[in-house]
Amino acid sequence: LIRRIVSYFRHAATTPLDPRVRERMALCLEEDPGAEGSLLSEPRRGGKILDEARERLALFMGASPSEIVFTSGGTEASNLALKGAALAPPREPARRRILVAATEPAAILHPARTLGRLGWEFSEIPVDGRGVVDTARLRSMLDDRVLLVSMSLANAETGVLQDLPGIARLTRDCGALLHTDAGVAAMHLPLRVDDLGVDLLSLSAHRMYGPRGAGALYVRDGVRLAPLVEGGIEEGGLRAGAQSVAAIAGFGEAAALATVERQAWKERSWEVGRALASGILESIPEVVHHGAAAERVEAMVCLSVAGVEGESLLLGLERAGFAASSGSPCADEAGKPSHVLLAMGVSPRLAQSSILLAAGRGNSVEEAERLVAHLCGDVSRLREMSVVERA
Amino acid sequence: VSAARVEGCLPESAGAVLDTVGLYCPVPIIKTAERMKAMGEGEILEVVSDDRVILLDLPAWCRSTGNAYMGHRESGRDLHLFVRRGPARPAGQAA
Repeated sequence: LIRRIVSYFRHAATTPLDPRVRERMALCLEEDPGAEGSLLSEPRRGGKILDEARERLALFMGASPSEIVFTSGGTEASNLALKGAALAPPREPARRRILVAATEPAAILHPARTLGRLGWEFSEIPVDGRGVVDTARLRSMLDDRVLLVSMSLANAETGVLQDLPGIARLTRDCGALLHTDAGVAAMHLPLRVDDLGVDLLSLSAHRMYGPRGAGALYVRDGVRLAPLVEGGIEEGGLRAGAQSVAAIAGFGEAAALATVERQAWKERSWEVGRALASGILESIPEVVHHGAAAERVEAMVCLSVAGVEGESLLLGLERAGFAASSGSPCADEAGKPSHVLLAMGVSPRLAQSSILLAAGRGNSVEEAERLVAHLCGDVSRLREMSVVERA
Repeated sequence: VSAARVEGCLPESAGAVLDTVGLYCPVPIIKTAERMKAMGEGEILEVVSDDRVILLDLPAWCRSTGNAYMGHRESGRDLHLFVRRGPARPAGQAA
């Protein structure tokens, strides 16, 4: 019997919609042309709502409103960043190389691979055992043929942080663009684009208590992109088609809330993450905590339990009312080892059995303690039953 | 269109440059209008575009908004067009 989920620990994948965001969105959904506030009776109101949301996103990341392009989500934003930079009329035609951290999500890796098929040169930047980009290797890969470097501020599976300001100094010196997917980091860390040194930054509304269906790409003034969706004047010509006003209004509200409340969200969720990590490591033997040696988003705990399948652990957690994930679409959908963990040098067996516990602002230390107690019992039981060889 | 059509003298440089390469009209015109709002009377904006439709659209926009189209020069596929900000218009009229 699967019980109702009572404790949600999948915040790195998606976050619950904030009630204040839902309220803001509802105000934009009146479709009766005769009703007060309807977007159909007041055509300019939609534009004003979009302007307000754009200003809120700009304030959230220390950018100018004209540097914000709304998209359908973070995945589209990252596709626009990579493909848009590659397909734009080039200022320097010799720049045909795209460098991407080996631990990037599919939203980055796949467009980069597509560009590779279309004639651009695509290479992965290796990471060390902690999951941190090998700066010496990156330096050796950078030259005047590199168009763009992409790496997430916080990895979506491990929470490991990259030193973007340091990386930005390298990319700037060689004249390459720097893109980051900041979706996971958005509800934990300040995202001042000038401090980070990035030229392009992707965000997802649904990873910061906003709605699904809205995302944004920060495009530094002067960066040349080609649109992926053409045929209209929306979003400065970089993303044609009528915008989803309600979703974007909700995104703006989420950004405004995060601007004020992010520090409190971080403190709460990191305390819960630390309770999860210490509780599990102290009470369960032979657990590998991936990325523990690196600076990371401490609300996220990615681990493998030797001798136990991750899928079994996730099923047991779900039955007990805890929502967790493998953290890896490879593992979830194809039963493959996580490419992130493989890139960190983790064995395929351990990489295939990882689980990710990602705390959010609504979790408590008591919930974390209950999860640890459940996991402890489940691991003992599964290890007794398991026919899986220990890695 | 001639390689270097000149209406008056093209300036050596402009106070601001707006890169719209890769974008089709009317987006470069919309971006020009936005950028001009932040400029003062007499200031010059250089608009860079690779959509040749702008050679018709930008002079027409300038005529209808009281700004001065100064001409353009070409560099490869790129067009560099120069606009001088006209006097501010009373509320209710296009800027």
